[in-house]
Amino acid sequence: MKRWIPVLIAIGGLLGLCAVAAAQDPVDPLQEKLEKKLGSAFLKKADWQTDYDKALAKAKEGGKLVFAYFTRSYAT
Amino acid sequence: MEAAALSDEKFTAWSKGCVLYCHITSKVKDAPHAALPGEKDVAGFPTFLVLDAAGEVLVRHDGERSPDGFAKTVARAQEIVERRKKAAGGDVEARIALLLQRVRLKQRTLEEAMKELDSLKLADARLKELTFVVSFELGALTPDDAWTQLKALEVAADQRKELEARINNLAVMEACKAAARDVKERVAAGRKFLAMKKDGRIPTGNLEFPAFWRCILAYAEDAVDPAVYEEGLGILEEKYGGKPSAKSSFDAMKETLKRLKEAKGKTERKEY
Repeated sequence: MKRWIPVLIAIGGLLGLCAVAAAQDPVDPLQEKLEKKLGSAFLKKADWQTDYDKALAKAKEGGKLVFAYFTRSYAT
Repeated sequence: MEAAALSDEKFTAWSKGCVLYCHITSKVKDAPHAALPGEKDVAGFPTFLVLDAAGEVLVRHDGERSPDGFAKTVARAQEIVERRKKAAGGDVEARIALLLQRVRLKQRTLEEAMKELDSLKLADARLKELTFVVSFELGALTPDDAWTQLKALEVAADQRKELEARINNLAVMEACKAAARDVKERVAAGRKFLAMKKDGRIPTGNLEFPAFWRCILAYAEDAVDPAVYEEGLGILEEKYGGKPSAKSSFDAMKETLKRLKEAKGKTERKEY
């Protein structure tokens, strides 16, 4: 019986680790893709806004038009 | 494109004259302004729009995706802003132009547009012409009906030319919806387009023009008509043959033409 004790402890440890991993928030692949897109080099080359309300406010303030680019991150 | 046109120094310099906004559809839960593409009638990606500070769409970019192409689109939007000022000052032609622009962007229903037209107190001939344009733009007329009605209308030559182009572009796009997925539909569209061509109805749009000729090629291949195939191939090659990316496609089309000529020759010899 004694020889099973280490095995049981190891199994218990593994189950514990699995429980901890399951309790953590899984990384959302869509969020990851969005963040990657937000880090795109082209967004840094010019003064792009990614907040719609801020873009409109900036246009109003400067008497300018908004050049809007619609793209997606989920399919990349 | 992001690594090319939108990263170009010319674009960066030009963009200082407007506010750049990038909307990323992410499908992330609770993403801000997720409904915006739907509200602005964004049908696919990428899409470029010019908006005013209130968020109203002024122009949809449909030209070349280059710094110069984008600059032209924003210049068109600026013209609309000027037109708005004239319209606010009571200029009837500016009010008509603005109404038509909103109709084309589907920002007015047929009922709303007719109401606005009535309020302008126009002469009968002008009202008739604009009623036709509004009805066509808002889908109340099929392209073929619009073509027939336009023939009977009194319209200035440049306006007629523009309307004819829009009608033909729409006719091609409608016929191409099914043709994109099905060879039989493509052949049927090609037959229709060949009849349009004989009637002088050739589309001018960036998408419509090649689609029109590709369908005619599909029809000519199916009907073993090398003369029609050769004509279509020649027209496409003249316009797009210089693009290195199109080389393999043109090589394949030339092989098809060769095959069609041989097949036609055999048939003619048999008949003889």
